[in-house]
Amino acid sequence: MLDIQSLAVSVANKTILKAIELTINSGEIHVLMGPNGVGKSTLTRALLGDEDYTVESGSITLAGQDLLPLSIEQRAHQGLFIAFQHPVTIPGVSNLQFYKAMVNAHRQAQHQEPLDAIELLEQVKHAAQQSGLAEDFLYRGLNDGFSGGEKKRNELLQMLLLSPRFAVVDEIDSGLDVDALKIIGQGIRHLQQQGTGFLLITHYPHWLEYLTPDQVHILVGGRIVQSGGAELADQVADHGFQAFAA
Amino acid sequence: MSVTRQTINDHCQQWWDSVTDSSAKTVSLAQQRAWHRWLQQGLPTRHQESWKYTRAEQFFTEPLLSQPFQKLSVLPQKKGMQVIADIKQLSANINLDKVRQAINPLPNAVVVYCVNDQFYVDSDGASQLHYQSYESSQSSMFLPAQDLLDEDSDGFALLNLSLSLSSPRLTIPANSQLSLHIVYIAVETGWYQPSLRIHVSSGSQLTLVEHGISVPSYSKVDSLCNSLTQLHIASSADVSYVYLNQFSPLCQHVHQLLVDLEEGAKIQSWLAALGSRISRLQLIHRLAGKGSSAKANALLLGHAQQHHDHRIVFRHLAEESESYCLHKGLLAGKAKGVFNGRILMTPEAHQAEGNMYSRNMLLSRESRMHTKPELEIYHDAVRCAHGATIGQLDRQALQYLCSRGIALAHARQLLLAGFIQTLWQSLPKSLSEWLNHHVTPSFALVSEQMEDV
Repeated sequence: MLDIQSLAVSVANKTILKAIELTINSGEIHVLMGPNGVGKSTLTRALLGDEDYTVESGSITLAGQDLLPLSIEQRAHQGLFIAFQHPVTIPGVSNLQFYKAMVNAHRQAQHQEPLDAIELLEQVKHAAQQSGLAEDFLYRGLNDGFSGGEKKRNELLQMLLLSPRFAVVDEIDSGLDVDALKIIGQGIRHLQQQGTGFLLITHYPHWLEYLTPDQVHILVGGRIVQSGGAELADQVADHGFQAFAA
Repeated sequence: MSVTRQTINDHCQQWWDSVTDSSAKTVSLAQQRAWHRWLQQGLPTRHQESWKYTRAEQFFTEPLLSQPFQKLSVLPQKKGMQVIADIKQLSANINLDKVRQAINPLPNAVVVYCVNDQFYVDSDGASQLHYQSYESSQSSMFLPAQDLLDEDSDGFALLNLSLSLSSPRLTIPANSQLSLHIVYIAVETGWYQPSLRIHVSSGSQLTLVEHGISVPSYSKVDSLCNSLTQLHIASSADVSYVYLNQFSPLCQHVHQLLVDLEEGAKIQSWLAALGSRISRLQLIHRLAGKGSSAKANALLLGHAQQHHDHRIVFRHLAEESESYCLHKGLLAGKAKGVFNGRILMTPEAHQAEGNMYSRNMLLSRESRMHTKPELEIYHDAVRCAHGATIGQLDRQALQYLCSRGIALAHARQLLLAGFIQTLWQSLPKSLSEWLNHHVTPSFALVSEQMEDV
């Protein structure tokens, strides 16, 4: 379970998030919606552990573990995964090299031996198939030459490899075509069934056609002003965010 | 203690006097010409643009210049040795097995050892090489090396051309293939000036590795290796060239590679400066033939108080010639790097193309990089591009890797390895593995001196 209590976050001495309360159980999908500039990405950065963002008050725990004192990589070891809106490109570090480092870092944190190379390759190929990525990308630089859609699929592939306890998916729908949205949706459902909890951050309610959220939260002015079922997303689609202005 | 220019000049004069006074060797016209030009120019100064950030005096030390002057006693001809001698004549004091272990010879290559100033090869290798001394050969295949240098000719090159004691000339026969691994080692304190000329005949392929290394048994030897290699690449011949400096901090290295390309000739170079307290590498390419091509991928890796200075020049003298240079610097500790690049498009360079990029990363507060790629264009119908960047490790990339559970130290190493890896992508696999084998330990030294900046 991810539990956020009374979280206030500032950046450059400006308070962006004010008293956020959010609890997401294993296997649940929560959606966070809101207009531009209200703090959705700030919440992502605070969960990540970005030092530019200061947690002024409140708490974040994952499966009972306080995340705030932990470094970025330690939070990942606890089972937190962040799927970024704009994944970085790192030429010279192949995708396969990266997956190997990522998987073995997690295994080391769990006091396990590094994964056998052949076994790793099998897992990667299976996850690539589920993500709709061709195998020839494995030896290319990380996200190097990838389209926006391919980068997002690569985020899904990594989630499938790691099976995190909890994933924040930051506007993964932006720039994706219908086919890619379907694949991402399928992947998220697959992980949900295995117990991964999700916080999906988005502007647009349309891609929720591919998923059934357990809760929808509307973020305006740094606060969650309303929470409810999928019908909230329909209200946003019909009336925009003005209807929820604090 | 630093030495003065006067002390260096005096030493050079003594050397020249011993060369001209000896009856064992006739001084060639080329040597005389180079010496007279040296007298006019002297050691490079920081007023020369290409030496602006490097003091030439730093290459010399008191122990080096105080060595007794007995150079002529080791002239190959005087000892009855060939210009490339049989390896069996190498002193028994030198443990060849340890040398081989350190260099990790290139597979299937002829290995030529240059120990101090003398070249050696084993009998198998000798049978594959066609060589003779430069002076005794018909040297018309080679342009005078001095003519390949810039107007402000490098003083170190002139010293090599005038004072070098032996200059083997190798010929790679037409339509043949050869892999050649030249290893430069200093086993005694001293100043060495090996000089090599290679003619690559039409249609042939040469893989040439020039590898400067200090073997552990001799790592405390104070020396200066001022080497010069001249390559003449005939029409449609192809050269893959690798240069690797792994000298100890006590062994300074100045290396010049002068390349002359005929029609359709190609050279691809991969260069890595890892060793020496101070080093200078200059590559001058003369693209004289239509459709000739020269590409260079270079790495400058510095830690502690190292100083590496690289200069890479492409002179386009013919139509449809092509050049490309990617130079990368990675500096930590108090290391200093210099890159001077130049692409010259002459009026004859119709439809030629030249690209030059310098990408650098500073990993500590006190590291420094000076970089200046230049374009000099005298023809309208050419394509040229150049650029230079200096930065630090990408914070976003670091965060991304850490967000996947990768420890910060490992994430840094991955990014640095990735930064360098793009240089070696075009290397044939066997060369890539060989180079990575040698670069990786130095890479770890740089990583250790990274700071959070």
